[in-house]
Amino acid sequence: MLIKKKNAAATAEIEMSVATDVSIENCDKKCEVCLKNKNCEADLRNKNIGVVLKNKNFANFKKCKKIGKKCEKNAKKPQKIAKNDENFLEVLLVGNPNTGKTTIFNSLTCSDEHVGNWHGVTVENKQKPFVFDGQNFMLVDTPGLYSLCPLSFEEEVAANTIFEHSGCKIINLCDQNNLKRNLYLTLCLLESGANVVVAVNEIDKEPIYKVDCKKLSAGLGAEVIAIDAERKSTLVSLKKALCKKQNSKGKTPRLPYLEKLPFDKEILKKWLFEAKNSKKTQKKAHFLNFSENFWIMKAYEKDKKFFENLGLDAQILFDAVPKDSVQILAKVRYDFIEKLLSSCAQRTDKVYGKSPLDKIFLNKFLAFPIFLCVLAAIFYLTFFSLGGFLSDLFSGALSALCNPITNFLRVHFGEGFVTDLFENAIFGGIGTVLAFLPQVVLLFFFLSILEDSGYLSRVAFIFEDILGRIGLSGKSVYTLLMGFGCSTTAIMTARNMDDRNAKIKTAMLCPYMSCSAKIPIYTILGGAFFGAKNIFVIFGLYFLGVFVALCLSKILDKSVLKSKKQSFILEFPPYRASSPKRLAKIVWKNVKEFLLRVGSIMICVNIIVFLLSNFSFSFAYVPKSGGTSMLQQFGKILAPIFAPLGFGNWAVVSALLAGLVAKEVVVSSIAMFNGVETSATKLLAQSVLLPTSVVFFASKASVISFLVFCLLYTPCLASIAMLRAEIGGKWTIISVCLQLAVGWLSAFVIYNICLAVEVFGAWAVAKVALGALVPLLAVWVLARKIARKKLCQHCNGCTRNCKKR
Amino acid sequence: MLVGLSIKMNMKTLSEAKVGEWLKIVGFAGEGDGVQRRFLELGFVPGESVRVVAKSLQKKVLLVEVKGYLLSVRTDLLQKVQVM
Repeated sequence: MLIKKKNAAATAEIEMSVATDVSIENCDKKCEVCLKNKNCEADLRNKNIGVVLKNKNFANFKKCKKIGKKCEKNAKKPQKIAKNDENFLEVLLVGNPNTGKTTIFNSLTCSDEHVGNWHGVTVENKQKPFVFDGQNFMLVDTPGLYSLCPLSFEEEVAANTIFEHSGCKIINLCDQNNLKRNLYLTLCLLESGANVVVAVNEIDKEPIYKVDCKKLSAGLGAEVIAIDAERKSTLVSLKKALCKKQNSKGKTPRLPYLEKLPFDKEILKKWLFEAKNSKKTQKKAHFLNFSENFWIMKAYEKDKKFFENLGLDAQILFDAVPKDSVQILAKVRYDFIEKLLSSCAQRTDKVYGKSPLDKIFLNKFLAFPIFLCVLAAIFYLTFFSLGGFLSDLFSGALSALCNPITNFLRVHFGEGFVTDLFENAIFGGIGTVLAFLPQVVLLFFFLSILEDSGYLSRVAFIFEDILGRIGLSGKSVYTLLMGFGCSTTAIMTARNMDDRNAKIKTAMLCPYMSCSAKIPIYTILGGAFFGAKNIFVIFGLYFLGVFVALCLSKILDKSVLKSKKQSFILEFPPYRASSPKRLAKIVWKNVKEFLLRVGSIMICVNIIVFLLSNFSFSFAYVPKSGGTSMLQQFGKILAPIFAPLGFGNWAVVSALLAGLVAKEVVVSSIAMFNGVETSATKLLAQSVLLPTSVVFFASKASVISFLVFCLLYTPCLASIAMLRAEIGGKWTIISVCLQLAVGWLSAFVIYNICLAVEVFGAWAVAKVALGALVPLLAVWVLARKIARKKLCQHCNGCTRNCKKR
Repeated sequence: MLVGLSIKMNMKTLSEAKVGEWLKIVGFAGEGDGVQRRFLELGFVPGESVRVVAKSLQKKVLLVEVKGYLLSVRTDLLQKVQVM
């Protein structure tokens, strides 16, 4: 409680310091402002802090936020972090991927950032303040990295953060179970002269390495602390260490192996002198504060990209090191680690990440069926058994809650605009969506368990073969699976792809994965028309989404977005079960997010749709005065486009249009148009079947085509914005157009097939399809064989199994 | 000359390794680039013992045990790692 209070005080202080220098001339300052403001904004959600902010000068906070947004545009991509104010001491949290950095970050700053058992969950810097012993700290969580020579996008973010904050304290988090490789990064950091506190994360009770922290500390010449996110006392000792380091100047790192690496220091001095005086480096002066050892190591690592970014020519340095310097350096570092660990750690025979379960999960024949079963189980539980039950309960409770209020409104306001607004837009519209809270939360819950389990790395391993063929990588599995939850957050995780083209492709394919916002559409419309058979429709839709994504990937790979051979290197984390505490957190977080979403965007959009659909262009209230509403007129213009899909109805088109903002709105708009008054999903489902209602589907074929279109067209504004931020404007436009086109075409094809089935019967259609497919397949196989014969240069006309290929 | 030849005869790349076979890393083929550096950072240093634990269906990805942990790597990258 005390810490929380102090936190609140800290945030108030940020806000105060922000309020003092709000000027538009100095952009750097402003960026600091806006980043800080982001924190304020996030903290605003934490009630305790928000209250303080509100009570103090909230007006100022708003003002800063505006300017903050402006400079966000001005500032270039690399994320700047607020520089050391006098009040704040910055601390970087650095470490290998999947060592639990964000978990520690969450417990130190009492926040709730996304964590998972996969490397590359965190893809950008996150910062938050915390207070200890009267000192304000600003903790920065960085993405994981293996060394100071980054390869992928998110590693670059982390490395640049370290370079730009050369004076800052660094908490180097090491996983106790994989100490050898984790210490490699520690050595890199120590060499660079960084101010490092090594924190050994004790995740497991029976670790692979039993470390004696004192001995390790003596061996490294740096502070070493054992920490555990669950135990507060260990966190306190870490915080104490952060304070202590600041007072005493700290130990000097002991790295005896550096002497084994010959380097002519005269050359370095000369080069550094020139570099310091060159104009190019003046903007990046902070780099040149690094120790001499750092530059020698960079020369040994032959990190050309690093010097290019600085705008320096380092050929002289590269010439001064031995030819295979990279190997020598790595060998020397690892030898030092081995020696160190043999003296200060006991090692068991276990291998990190190895598990007998892998024999089953990676089995040639079982791997795929198991994965499909896992997915099927998740969706079955979400949609039907458990989810359906919870959703019904919740829906019942909601309508019981709504009814007295509508009655009250009717009595006091009579029939008219106000009552309609509440009944239709708020209770009918929002209520129907709100009824799906249990299902959406359940889906995220299962996906989080999957993410925590470590199984996803195995899935990536299994799927690399197949996905490699269509130009994706096994790593895409994570992004695509997260797409089942929410496209917007999933798109961001595409950053951990190594190849730019693969990143764009993965991000573009995310929206085809049916996201959780589409659950209400499937359940209500599918349920109305297909009843118990809806399970096949829903599974079919999910399957179709994946199928379309895979086909598109292949097409994109063949045409515009050829991916280079990907460097597929992925760690295998151990299997882990989520703790009950974490499960409760996941549920609470998702409930909160869902309610926030419904309470903000959904209500706004619903009210807008209500106003548009109930007022004519002359601002007359349609239900009373008659005439056509604005939406009706607009919908009628667009309706012919959708006539070939079987739903050329203005209301349906308007619902789709509103659905561009957020997919849940599709259902709430339909509820509004059909005049559903309470949050009864069953009423809505019945209304769609009635020919007299505004939104009415004539046949099963038209419903299926509508569902398919909903599945494939642009998911929401937020995802478009995220796409723009991640892959740029050009690709976003292409992506959105593609989504609309693919959605329309697929819906058209499926509608016509369904119509044919309805008219001629399923068997006849199957016969025709088979009749067409067999010759086509034959032609394709022939064409492929001929093409292969021509292409093979190793031998004259070989078969597919040519070993020389 | 003869010694060099015999070493060459024994030498193979990690991509050709059988499952469960312990091998010693000798060096890397080709120019030193980012990928080679990454391999070294991950613990594939000369003299280190490694072994392949599992292979994917089409053998395009191998699961390698190195420095006491597991890493899945594409076969075309492992072609650059020379082992004995």
